[in-house]
Amino acid sequence: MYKETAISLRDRFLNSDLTALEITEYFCNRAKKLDPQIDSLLHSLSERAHLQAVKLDKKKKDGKALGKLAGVPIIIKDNIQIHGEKTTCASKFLENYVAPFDATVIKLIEEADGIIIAKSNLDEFAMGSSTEHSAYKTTKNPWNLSCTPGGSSGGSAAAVCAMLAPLALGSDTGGSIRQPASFCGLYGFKPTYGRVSRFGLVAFGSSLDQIGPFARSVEDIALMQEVLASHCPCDSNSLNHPKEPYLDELKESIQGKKIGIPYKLLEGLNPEIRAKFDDALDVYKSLGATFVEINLDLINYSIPMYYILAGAEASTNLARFDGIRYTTRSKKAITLEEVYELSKTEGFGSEVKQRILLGTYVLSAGYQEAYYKKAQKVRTLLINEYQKAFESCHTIALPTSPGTAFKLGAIADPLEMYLQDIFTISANLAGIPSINVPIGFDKDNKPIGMQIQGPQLDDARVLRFAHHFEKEANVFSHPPLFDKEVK
Amino acid sequence: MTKFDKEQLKTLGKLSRIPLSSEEEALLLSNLTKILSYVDKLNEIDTEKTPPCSHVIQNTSAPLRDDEPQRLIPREEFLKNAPDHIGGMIKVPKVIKDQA
Amino acid sequence: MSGPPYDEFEPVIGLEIHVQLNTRSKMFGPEPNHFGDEPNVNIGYIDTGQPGSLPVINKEAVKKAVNFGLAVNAEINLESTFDRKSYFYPDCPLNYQITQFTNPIIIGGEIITEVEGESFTFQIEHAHLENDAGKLIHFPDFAGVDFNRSGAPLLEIVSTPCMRSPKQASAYAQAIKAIMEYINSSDCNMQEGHLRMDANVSVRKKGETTLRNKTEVKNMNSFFNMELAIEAEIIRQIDFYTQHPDKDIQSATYRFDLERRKTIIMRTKESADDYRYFPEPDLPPLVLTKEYVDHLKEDLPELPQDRYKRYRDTLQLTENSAMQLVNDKQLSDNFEEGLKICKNPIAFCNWLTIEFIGRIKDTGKTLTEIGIEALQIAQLVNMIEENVITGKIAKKVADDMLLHPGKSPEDIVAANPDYKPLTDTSVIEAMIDQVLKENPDSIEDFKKGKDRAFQYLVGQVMKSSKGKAPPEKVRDLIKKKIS
Repeated sequence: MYKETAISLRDRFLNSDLTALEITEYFCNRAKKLDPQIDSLLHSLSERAHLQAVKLDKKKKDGKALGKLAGVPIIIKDNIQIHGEKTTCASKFLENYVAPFDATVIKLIEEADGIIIAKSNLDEFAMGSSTEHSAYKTTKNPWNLSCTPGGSSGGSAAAVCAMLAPLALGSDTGGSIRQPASFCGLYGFKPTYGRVSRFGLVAFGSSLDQIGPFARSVEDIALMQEVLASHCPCDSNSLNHPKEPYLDELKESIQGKKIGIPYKLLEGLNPEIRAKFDDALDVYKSLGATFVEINLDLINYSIPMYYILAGAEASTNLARFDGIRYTTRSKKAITLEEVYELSKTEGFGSEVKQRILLGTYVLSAGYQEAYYKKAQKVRTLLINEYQKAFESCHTIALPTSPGTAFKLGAIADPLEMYLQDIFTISANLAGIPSINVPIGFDKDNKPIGMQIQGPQLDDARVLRFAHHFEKEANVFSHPPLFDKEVK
Repeated sequence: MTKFDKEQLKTLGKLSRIPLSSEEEALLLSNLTKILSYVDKLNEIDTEKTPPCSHVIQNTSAPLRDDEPQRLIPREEFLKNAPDHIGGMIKVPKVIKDQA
Repeated sequence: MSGPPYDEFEPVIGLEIHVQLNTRSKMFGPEPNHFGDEPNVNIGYIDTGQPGSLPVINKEAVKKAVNFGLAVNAEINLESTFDRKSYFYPDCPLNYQITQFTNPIIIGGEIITEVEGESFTFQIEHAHLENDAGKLIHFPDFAGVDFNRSGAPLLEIVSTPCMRSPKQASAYAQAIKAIMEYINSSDCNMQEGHLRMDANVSVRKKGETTLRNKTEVKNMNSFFNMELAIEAEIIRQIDFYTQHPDKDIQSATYRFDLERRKTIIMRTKESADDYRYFPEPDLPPLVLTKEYVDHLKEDLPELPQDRYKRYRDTLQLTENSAMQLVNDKQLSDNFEEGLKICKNPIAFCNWLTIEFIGRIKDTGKTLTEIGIEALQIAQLVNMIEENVITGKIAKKVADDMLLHPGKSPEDIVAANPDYKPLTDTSVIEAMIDQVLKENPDSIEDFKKGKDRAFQYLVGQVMKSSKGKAPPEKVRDLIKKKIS
C-alpha cells in the first residue's frame, strides 16, 4: 500500500477495497516505525487522524457525498496552522504554541475528506535550504541518510520520499518546495503567487510565500491543486480565480509547444546535472516540443534581490514573536526590555537572527533606498524579463539546483547555502508557477531534478508539461532503503 | 558600498530587540559583511527609470470585508498560549508610563 | 503681562487627531469594535498578532473615511496604499502598525469655523486609515494588556501648521468632532478615547517666514486641557528663546501636567525608533471608483458648517448660540426636531440652550437621556408666543417638566390652575390699585423721573398675581393710572 499514489488509495477507499481506518492506521504505523531513521516528522496526529478516519468510514456508509481526497493520508509542514494542534515552525520560541485556528488549506483538505496524519520538520521559520536549522531534529534524505533532504520543507519531502504518505504540503518562498523535491526525487509544485491561500501559513516572505504539494506523481499534484487552488476571502492577495480541473487539463498534448531555455545560465553547471538536463530535453523533443533560447540574465541577481526583500518582510513578520502573548518567555526576564531581548535571544536560532538583522538593516533609515527600494526595482525588471521570455515560449525549463543532496553539515558558509537557491528564487520573485520534475540520478544515486516554469496563472500548463514528461521518461523510482513493508 | 561595522550591528540589535553575545557578534559581523557585499551586486543594474514592484500580481485591488462583527478566539483559548496572564489580561513587567 | 516679550512671538500649531471610527468590526479583522467589555473577549487573529493571520480591509471604515474627506472638501485618493510602521510595544500585537504613510486615502481638505467671532479656514494636510493598538493598563508591580481595542479602525487627521493660537486649535478640533458626529463616522465619545489629539507646537518671531523646531504635546484629553497645554508649551518655548536667543528648541515629546499647568518632557527625538516604513505586502492597493465616491457624496447629510450658516443667515441666531448648537450634534438635532413646530426659532433656541441646558448642566446627562423631548420644549415656546402662558410661568413649567420628564407642557399647565394667565382686567386693576395705595412714595419717585420706582411697582403687582398677570398689561394699566 505504501507505494500507492493518492489517487489510487482514494479509489480503493471509494470502491470499498480499503476502509479509511485501515489506510490511516497503516500509514500512521509506517510513519511511527520508519520515521526514526529520517526524523522527518515533528508531531504525529495519529489520534486525530484515527477519529477522522472513523467518521469518514461512517460518512461513506451513510451514502453521503465524498470529497476528492477521501481517505488519503497527508502530512503538513509545521508552519501551517491546524486548530488545536501545535505549530512550532521548528522553533524553540513556539515550543508550546497551540494553533487557535485552521489554515484555509487545512479546511479545504478536510472538507475534501483528506486525513492529516502528522506535522513535518522544517528549517526554523522556513529559513534555510537543508532543514539543518530546525531546533528539534535534523531530517535525513531517504536516498542517503548522511545527506540533507533539502529545505526548508525537508520534512515533507523526506516523508513523501520514504512513502510515509503519498501527499504532503510544504511552503516555498525561494525554492523551499522545489529544491527538497529535487534532492528527494519527487514532484514539488509552487503555484502562481496568490493561487493558494496563505491564511494560516506562518508568514516568512509575504510577497513570495506559497503553499504547495509534494507527491510521487503529477496527477497527485494536480489532485491536491484542484482542492487548494481557489479564492480565499481571508487573504487579500488571494486571486479571484475559480477552481480549475487540473487533472483533465493534464491530458492535452504538448506537440508543437515551445520550451524556452536560458542557455547562458547553464554555463558552468555541474556536468552530471547538465547531462541529465539535456537528456530530459531529449524526452521533450520526442514529445514534439521545440526549444527556443531565452534571456533570463537577471536570474544572476536573484539572490541579492531575494535576501533583501525576503529579509525585509521576514524581519517584520517575525517581530510578533516577542515573549509577550504566545511564545515562550525567558525565565530570566525581569524588565519589559528583557522580556523582548532575552526571549528572542533564547527563542530564535542563529540563522533566523541573522536574517532578521539583515532585513532590519535593509529597511533602516539611510539604507532603505539603496537596498530595499533598489531590490524592488530590479524585481520589476525581472518580472518584465520573464514576460518577454514567455512571448516566445509556452514554458521555461531550467535546472532546480546547482547540485544534488549535500552531506549534512557540509555547508557552513551562509552565502554558499544561499547559492543553493540560484535557480528557484526567480519564480517567487516573479510570482510564476514552477514545478520540480525528477529527471534522473547522479553517480552516487542521488536524485537530480529540473524545473518547468510557466506564466502567472498558467499553473495547468506547467503541470501538463510535467505530466507528459513523467509518462514518457519513466525515470521515477523509490529509495531502496524504504521500499519495503513494515510490521 | 557602505561599510558595515560593530556599531551598526549593535544598532540593529537594538532596533530588532535581538542583543548578541560577543561570539555571535563576531560571526554575524563576518557573515553580514559577506552577504552585504554580495548584495551590492545589484548596483550593476541601471534602475533609474524603473518603478519599484510592491505587488507581484498587477492590477489587483484590496478586497473589502463586510462590517459584520464576530468574536474569533475565546479568551480562555487565547490565554492558554500566554506565558503569563492575570485578570484576563496578558501580564508583562511594569512599563514606564508615557513611553508610546 | 511683564516678563518675556510674548507679543514679539507668534505660535505655530499643527494638530494630529486620531479619531476612532464607529464601525461594528475592526479595521483589518471581523472582531467586534466595542468598548467596555471584559478584557480580551473581542479578539481574533490579526488583532492579537497570531502567526498566519492576514489583514482584510473593513468596507465600512473606508466609507466613513471617504465621507470625512468629502465633508472637508478634500481629494479622495482613488488608489491609496498601506505601509508597515515598525516599533515594539506590548499593546502592539504585530510589533508593527498597518498605516498609510506614503499614499493616504484623503489628501488636503479644509475646516471652516469661527474663533471668537472671526471666520477661519484651517488646512488639512491629509488623513489616513490605520489600526489602533490595544490597551496597556498600569498596576503597581506589573502591567496588563487588553487587546479589545487592538485593531479598531482609526482615521488620523493631520493638519498643516496653520493655527496661531490655542483657541484656534481648539476650534479646529471641535469642528472635526462635529463633522465626525454629523456624518456618523465616529461617536466621538471623549471618555472612551474616540478622539485623541496631539499638538505640534513651535514659536517664531513675528515676521519670520521659516519654521523653527517643533515639539509634540500629547495626552490632552479635552479641548479645554488642550488649550491650556498648548498655551503652557508656547510660554515655555518663548521663555527658552528669550533666555537663549541663539539656540534652537530641542525636538521632543511632552505631556501636559494639569496640576502644575506645565508641559513635561517625555522623551527626546533621538531616542525615538526608526519606523522603517515600507509597503504592506499583505494588502494590494485600495482602489475606489469615481462612481463610488460620487454616490457617497450624494448621500452626505447636512454638515455642521452648513447648519451653522443656516442658523446664522436664515434663522438669525447669535454666533454663540449657533456655535453652541452646531458643536453638539445631539443638541442640534433636538433643535431641528423642535423647529418643525416652533413659531419662534430664536426664542426656542434660548429656551433650549439657556433655560433647559442650564437646568440640567450639573447632571452630566443630555436632555434625551433625561427624557425631555425637543418637541415639548418647542410646544412650551409656542405657548408663550400664543400668550397661553406668561414667560415667568413658563419657567415654572420648565421646572415641572424636569421633575416629570415626558410630561407635556400642555398637560402640566392644564393640571395647574396657578399657571393659567390672569385675563380678568378688573382683577388686575384691583391688584394695581392695592399696590399703588400701599406705595405712595414709589409713585412720587416715578413722577420725579425714577424709572426704577416704576419697575418696583410692576414687580409688586406681578408678585400679588403670583406671576399670572401678563406683564405688558400690568405696565400699561399702571402707566395709565399714575401718569
